[in-house]
Amino acid sequence: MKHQKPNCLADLERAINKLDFYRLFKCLCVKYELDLLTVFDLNNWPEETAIESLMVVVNKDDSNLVDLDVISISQDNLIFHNMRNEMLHDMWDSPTVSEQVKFCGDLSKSLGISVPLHTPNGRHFGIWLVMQKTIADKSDIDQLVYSCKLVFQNFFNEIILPDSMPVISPRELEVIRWSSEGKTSVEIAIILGLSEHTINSYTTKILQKLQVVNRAQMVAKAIRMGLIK
Amino acid sequence: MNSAAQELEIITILFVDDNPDEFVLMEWLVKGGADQNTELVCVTDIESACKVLDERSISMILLDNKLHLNDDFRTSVPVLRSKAFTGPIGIVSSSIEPEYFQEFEEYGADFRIGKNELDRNAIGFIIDEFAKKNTNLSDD
Repeated sequence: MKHQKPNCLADLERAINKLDFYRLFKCLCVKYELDLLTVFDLNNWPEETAIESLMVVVNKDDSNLVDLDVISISQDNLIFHNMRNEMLHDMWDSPTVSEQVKFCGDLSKSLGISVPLHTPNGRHFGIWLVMQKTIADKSDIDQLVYSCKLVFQNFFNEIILPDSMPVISPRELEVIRWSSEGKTSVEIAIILGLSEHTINSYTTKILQKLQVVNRAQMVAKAIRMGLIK
Repeated sequence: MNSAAQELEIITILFVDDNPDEFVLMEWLVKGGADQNTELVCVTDIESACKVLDERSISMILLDNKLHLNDDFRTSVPVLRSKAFTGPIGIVSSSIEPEYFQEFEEYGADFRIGKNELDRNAIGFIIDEFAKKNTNLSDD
């Protein structure tokens, strides 16, 4: 069966920051009545047991889930093994789920779905979904997994991938120019009429793109590359 | 900033909306959504918001898109930025469908979100993503 982009993802091509993608994932949570949707960065697992979550979207207001920003997952965790090493999504019934992912709280009546995500440049991510068992229907789940992959693909292209591509945008170039004048983030924010958060985001992206570690090196490399004079 | 200092940090949010009925709802959302101490300051117009910015430190601004019939964030955000406010500004609107919302960064805003999308989890995400101090990037 050919999958289609659901109506709730009409804004997919307009998403440009992490909150936009949070909103899109939240739309999927509402549509499929998910309790939890988490995007994990699995690149360092299982060598490093600390797993970074890139996005945690909870679909119930009275949730008392633990903080999922960084969790520790043992090397023999079957769910994370699926996300890290397999190609196809898998479903997990409640006894397994509760034992393997204690950080999700009480999942006795829930179904977990692990969705492996592998990028062309060899990076590994995974989406972990939790939903009520009674809602689960195979065709719905296939469509849900497809939708999750669709959103992640855009999330990867818009948020993760630019960090590793040496293409400097005009705004980023302005930040480099003002940094070369010795201006701080706050000063650049005032000059450009933006927030310090935005300036720091630009600077972080520039540091990654130019593969440098601080502002001084950033300016030096930008001059060497001819980005600024 | 270490974790103990972060716990002590109070996130002060300035909420600008011409409908005071929204204040109670926002108060409830912020109290339940944040995992640290928050304070919500509510005003109904941009002039009052500027006055608040003159008088006290604000961590983040949530701004209703349509404060006046003929204005939107494209005019109000630059006014707030002209007060040298460098914190995050988020646009809250009943609809973020209009094409001009796609240009929010050009006008100095950090994000936009629909009023129907705002719940305590979304507020928690916004505070984590935008309002907490990013101390990983020094000016050296």
